[in-house]
Amino acid sequence: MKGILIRPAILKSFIMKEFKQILRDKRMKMMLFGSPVLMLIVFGYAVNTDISEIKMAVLDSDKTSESRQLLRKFTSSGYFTHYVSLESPDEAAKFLDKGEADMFIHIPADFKKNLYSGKATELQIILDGTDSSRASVIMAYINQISSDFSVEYLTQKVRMLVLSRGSSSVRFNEPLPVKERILFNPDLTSRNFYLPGVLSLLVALITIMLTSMSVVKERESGTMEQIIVSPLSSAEFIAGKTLPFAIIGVAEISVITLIAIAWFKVPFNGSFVFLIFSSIFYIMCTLSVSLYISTVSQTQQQAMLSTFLFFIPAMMLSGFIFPIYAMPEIFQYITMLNPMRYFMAIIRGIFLKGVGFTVLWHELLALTVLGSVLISLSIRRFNRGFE
Amino acid sequence: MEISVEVQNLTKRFDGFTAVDSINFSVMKGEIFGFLGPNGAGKSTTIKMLCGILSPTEGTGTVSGYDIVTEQDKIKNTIGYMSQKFSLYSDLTVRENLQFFGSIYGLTGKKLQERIDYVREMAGIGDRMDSPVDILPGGIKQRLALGGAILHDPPVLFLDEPTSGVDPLMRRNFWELIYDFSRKGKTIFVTTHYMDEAEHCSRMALVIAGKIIALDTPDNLKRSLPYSVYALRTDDFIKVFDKIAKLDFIEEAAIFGSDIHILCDNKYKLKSELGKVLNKSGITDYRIERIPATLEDVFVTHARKLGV
Repeated sequence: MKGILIRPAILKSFIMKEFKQILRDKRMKMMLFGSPVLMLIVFGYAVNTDISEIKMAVLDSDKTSESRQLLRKFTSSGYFTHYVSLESPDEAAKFLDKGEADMFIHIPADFKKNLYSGKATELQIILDGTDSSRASVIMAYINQISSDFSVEYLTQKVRMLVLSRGSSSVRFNEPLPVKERILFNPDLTSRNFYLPGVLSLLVALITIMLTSMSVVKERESGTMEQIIVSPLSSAEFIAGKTLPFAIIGVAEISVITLIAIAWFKVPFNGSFVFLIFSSIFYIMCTLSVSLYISTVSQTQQQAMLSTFLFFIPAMMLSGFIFPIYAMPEIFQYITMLNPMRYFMAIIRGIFLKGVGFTVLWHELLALTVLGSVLISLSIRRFNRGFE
Repeated sequence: MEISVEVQNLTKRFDGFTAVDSINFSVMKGEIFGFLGPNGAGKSTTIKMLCGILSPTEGTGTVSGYDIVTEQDKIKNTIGYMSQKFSLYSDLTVRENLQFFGSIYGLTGKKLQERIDYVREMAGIGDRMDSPVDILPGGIKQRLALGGAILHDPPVLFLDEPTSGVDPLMRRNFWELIYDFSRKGKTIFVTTHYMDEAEHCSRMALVIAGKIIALDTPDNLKRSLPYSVYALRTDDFIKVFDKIAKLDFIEEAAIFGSDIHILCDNKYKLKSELGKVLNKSGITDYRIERIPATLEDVFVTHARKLGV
């Protein structure tokens, strides 16, 4: 099987045959329809990295209105819940060890006294640091609340002081307020961050796995020999095998984008046309990987396993979950060879920031270059298998 | 006579293992040429080299006058290939399979429909054109696979163990189809390990361990055997078999049903020699008869000579 000749009538009949087979293959149908549903449920509902419901084990040794006021400040923030009240500090370990409480807060007995006498007051906080990123977020909340509390207390005290001296004309300034405004994902909803990324995962998984499986299936079932002895050119075969999955990939992107917008209310600020346009280059990369995999796999199971061998590291190094800037430098360089990294950036740019070609052209260029190199390498390797 | 397939010193080695060892033969147009040998003799490897699935390590060959290494593309339209494995899409229907394979050979429209109708008739598909080929009975599947290979009406047909796993009646049917093709002037190159099937061939090559050890018409092969074949019938044939198997004038003895078949070099007079031995053992109730040699006898003789 050689040649770069592509005859439209033959290619069309090959593609039609592929679609029929895909739609009749249970395993492929499961992958095609099942995996998007599964991933949407997981990343739309289950995965939530937003931190709330922090459970406090509380030991209030002061038991004054001031100490209660401080605790109310925690619980009314919306992040903390008063999980249990303790009698002694020794009990804290029990709740922390079991993971029933996220933190232990101890208000000392001289809290009010120190507060009024102007001495330094101290709070004891013990945090479960198992999940380091969660712990650091909790720590930030605590600092925020305790500083709010002291600022409020001071303001009140100063105001009372001023009032008691009768000089109502003294103008009084609030302390310098810091107002935070977060752009692009104002609620910091993790769903908005992950769901667009799911597009990039799904398309890779489906195009790589299904294409390589469908090529290997021909080899397994012996139909490959029948194809090789026929006048079908290798270009026709490769195009016939990859185009159906490219079409499916683009369709999948459109449908999932619609579901993300309509059902999960993920903001979509950019251009849909640009999304589809850049996905074509991304799919070119993933299809090259699938062709490569089909040359090293003898059975469909092997093709599946090889797909995951590529997919898992590619996902880890794409910035989908772990930010690339936080990786050791050498890994940051490796991610430059990862098509998923660029498409992830493009998708998030389009969804959340609403940016287009003028901002994302670096990523698009990288995908184009990567795609062209990969596809020529894998076609070369694929053809060598028939010599 | 026009030569259809010809090879010279054709050799295929896989990592030091020689699957096909410098074979030479030529097949005439319209011939049914058989390749007979045990599994692993290199039959499929030879066919795959001729069809362009494998490339030869050494040697040359032509199919329909085109070089098997440099002119593969031209060969493709002139050959039909039926592999050992069922090689149609089991998840597509009969019609879909035929339409697909027809289309990749460039058949369209009326011509394609004509050929599909022909295969439908030939393979006995009847009204099952829209059933998945998966659920067709074995014999029909096999004829359909043949149909897939001849859709484009090729002058040369390569059949790799086409009848393995098919019942005897279906096999007979199948061979009738092959005779029919041969009458229409098509060249048929067929591999098999069934001795009785080899009898159908115009000429045949015996292959063992990658080498052709004999090549002729089935009749000539049997005639050239330097042995005569006898059938010995007696009551206690198992006891007798043990007694005579080791005799030095007997080349080969084998039990066939309740008979013992004996291969004996032509220089001995088996009836009298064996008579003496049996009489000595007190066996008097027996009958010895000369019978015609079969291809199996030919095959076994050649295989023994090679020490296989």
